[in-house]
Amino acid sequence: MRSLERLRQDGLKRLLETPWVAVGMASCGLAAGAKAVFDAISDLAEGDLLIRKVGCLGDCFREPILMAHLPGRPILLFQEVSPEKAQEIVLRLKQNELPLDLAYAQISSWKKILSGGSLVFGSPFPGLLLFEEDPFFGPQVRLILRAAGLIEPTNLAEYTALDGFKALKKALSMPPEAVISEVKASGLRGRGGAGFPTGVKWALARSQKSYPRYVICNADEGDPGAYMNRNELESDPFMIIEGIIIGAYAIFAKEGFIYVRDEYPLAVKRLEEAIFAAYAHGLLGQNILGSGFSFDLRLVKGGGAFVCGEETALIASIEGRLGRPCPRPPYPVERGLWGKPTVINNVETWANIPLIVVRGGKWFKTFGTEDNAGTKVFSVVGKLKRVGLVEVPLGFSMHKLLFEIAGGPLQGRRLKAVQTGGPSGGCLPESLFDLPITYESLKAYGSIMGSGGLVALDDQTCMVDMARYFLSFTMEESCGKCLPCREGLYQMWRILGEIQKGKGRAEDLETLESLAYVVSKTSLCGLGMTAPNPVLTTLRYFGEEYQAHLQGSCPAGVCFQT
Amino acid sequence: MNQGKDVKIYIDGRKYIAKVGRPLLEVALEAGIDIPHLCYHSALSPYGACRLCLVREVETGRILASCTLPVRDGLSVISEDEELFHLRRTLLKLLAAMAPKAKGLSELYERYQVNPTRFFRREPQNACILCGRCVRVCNEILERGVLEFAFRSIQTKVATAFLEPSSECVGCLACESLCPTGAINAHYTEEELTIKGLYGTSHRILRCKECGKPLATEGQIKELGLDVRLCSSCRRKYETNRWISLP
Repeated sequence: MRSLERLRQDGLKRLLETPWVAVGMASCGLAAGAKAVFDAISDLAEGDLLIRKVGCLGDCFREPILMAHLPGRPILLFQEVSPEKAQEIVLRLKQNELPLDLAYAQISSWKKILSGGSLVFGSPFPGLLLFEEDPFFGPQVRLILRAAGLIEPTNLAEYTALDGFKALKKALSMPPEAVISEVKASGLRGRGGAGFPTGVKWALARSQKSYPRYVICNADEGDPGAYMNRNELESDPFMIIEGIIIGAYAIFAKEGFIYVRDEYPLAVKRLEEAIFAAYAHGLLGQNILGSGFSFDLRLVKGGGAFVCGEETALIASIEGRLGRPCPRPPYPVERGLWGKPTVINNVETWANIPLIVVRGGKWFKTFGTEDNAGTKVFSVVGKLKRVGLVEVPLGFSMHKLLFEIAGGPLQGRRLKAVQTGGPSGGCLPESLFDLPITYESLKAYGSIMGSGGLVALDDQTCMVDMARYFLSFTMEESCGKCLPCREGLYQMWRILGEIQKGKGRAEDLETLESLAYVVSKTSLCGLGMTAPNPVLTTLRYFGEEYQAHLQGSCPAGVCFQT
Repeated sequence: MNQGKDVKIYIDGRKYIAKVGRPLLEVALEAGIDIPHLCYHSALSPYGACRLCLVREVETGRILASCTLPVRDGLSVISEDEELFHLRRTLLKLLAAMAPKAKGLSELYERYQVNPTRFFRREPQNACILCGRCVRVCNEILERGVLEFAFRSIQTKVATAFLEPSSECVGCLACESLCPTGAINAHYTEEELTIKGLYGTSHRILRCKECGKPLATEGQIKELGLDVRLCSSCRRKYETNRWISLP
């Protein structure tokens, strides 16, 4: 066991004083061919260069991404790297030459959000784009993605080089009440979608009288087109573990669980490695950092049900029961896992905790708006020029996000709508693009924040088809327990199918709307309550497309094709 | 559940006294207020699946299932209004489409004016409404674990293990007696009890050794550990004779 300070020195040495190349090897990078790039250079680089497997910076449209660093010089970033290009870069690095002509940007310094300083790599090369000036990265505020893409995800030394576990050390020296009041003061709201104030949840759990208590990290991300949590787990698992330990300390929990979906094999593997490393360094287990506080963290893999992201179903799944929701109240903070007080928070909520503990709730509140403090990572996908993970303060303009950061629609196309909040979210039309992104503003127009999925749709997307796609997802993922969700969604899906086949009748739209209303009003859990949103919002904002289908034509040219 | 203290609650503006924490539906039913319900049963844990027992919370205007709404001081609800009527009516329409062969629902259909709709009848022969009473009684009360839900979404079924005749079932028929729609029912022949709806689960019927009247299923006798296979009247005779013949 080595002290954190020594680890930190090791990490700094690795990052700053060692020549290295790094390949972005999160799932997105691997899908784009990062493995081939890595294999092509691993033998070549050996001995002269340290070769690092890092997470993802967020600019998924540029994958595979390679970074190169020589001591005292800025980090160079290379995009869409082929194995051949990677070999060339490495060969030139071995000659002590930085291949500036091949790079698209440079990182001359990296902000250390946790301490306020920065890691300085070297003064920038003139004429090469700075990371901060990149149109994709420039407008972002990277608090949660504070280390993503730079560090090796399961390397504790590199994590501590960016002030990792500083928050834990500080929290363990504070009274638990002080930790909770700091989280309360920050105004942090649950990032899983519902937006419940995290500090209030913790205080509720703490005020319960029964023991033991549990903390759970909900990493059962399942929205189609959304992968914020996956990337956070794959690129920086320690920040989540650190957040969980702090939460456990605050509510006196001795045991915690990370419920992660098994469809994320890389995230599972990295979490396992990170938890192992944390145990090995006395950051988990008995007497953490000599504080007298003991905490065990275990990984539970989900069995592939979307509904297990709902907290009561998640608890049932951990207990080994059928993954089906139960009515609330009682809420898990009163009676959760095995009937004991349990705090369940989303991956991203936990990721914010170290920041709040180190920098204070007041500082955290300077980001975002009055009731929507902090930043949020969005997975921006769909018909856009630049897709990837984007972190912006809450209250950020949707228009700016879509057109500046993501670069707007593809050549010759027009953006028509954006689906927020995954399959339970709604579809917002072009006329609402000026909306600031907050929990309340999205809700006011029939959508939700959800966990942060944004799918951009252009004039080639049929809204009826889109609504039916999302509905088919929620219908199949309905647990089948309550009548409105199971049967109502199915009937809605059938009616949409008839409309798509040109067999729609005039009264169908009314039936759809009334059925959607009933399902959202009477369902047992959040899945059913929000599942009709795509249908309700498309009916509301794109009613003319439904009418056109009843008339026998599909404006986007998607339906009626045999 | 019943150990809470007495508090005042209001249903449709009328005051009632009830214990904290009890399901509101239970209190309402005892007071004679006829809130429709299918999955609720007083012997079983609240389940909240049929959603028919909706009420409106006056304070917030929220619509909640009363079987899973615990009584608290000052709780005030409306048991029926125009919107609740409409919601229940739509739910019943969905139910009618889902389980066209379900028995015992005609009164509810009539009360809520449910008539044929465009809703698609997926399984015209289906009678099960997935209320889960059978599953709960088998697991909670009898602790046999014969029945559980399998699959999800519209494929959800009440199932025995591997959808095969159950080796755990003893044929107590608690499931059948709680089934509100006749989806589970018992068929007797001279030798056998077959439980329809339980994937061909059947039981050999044992008869009284003396008079030959049907006694119980083989599984029940085994479970109870009875060594003397006599019906109640023959057993009385047998025991009496035994006592008389004692020296």
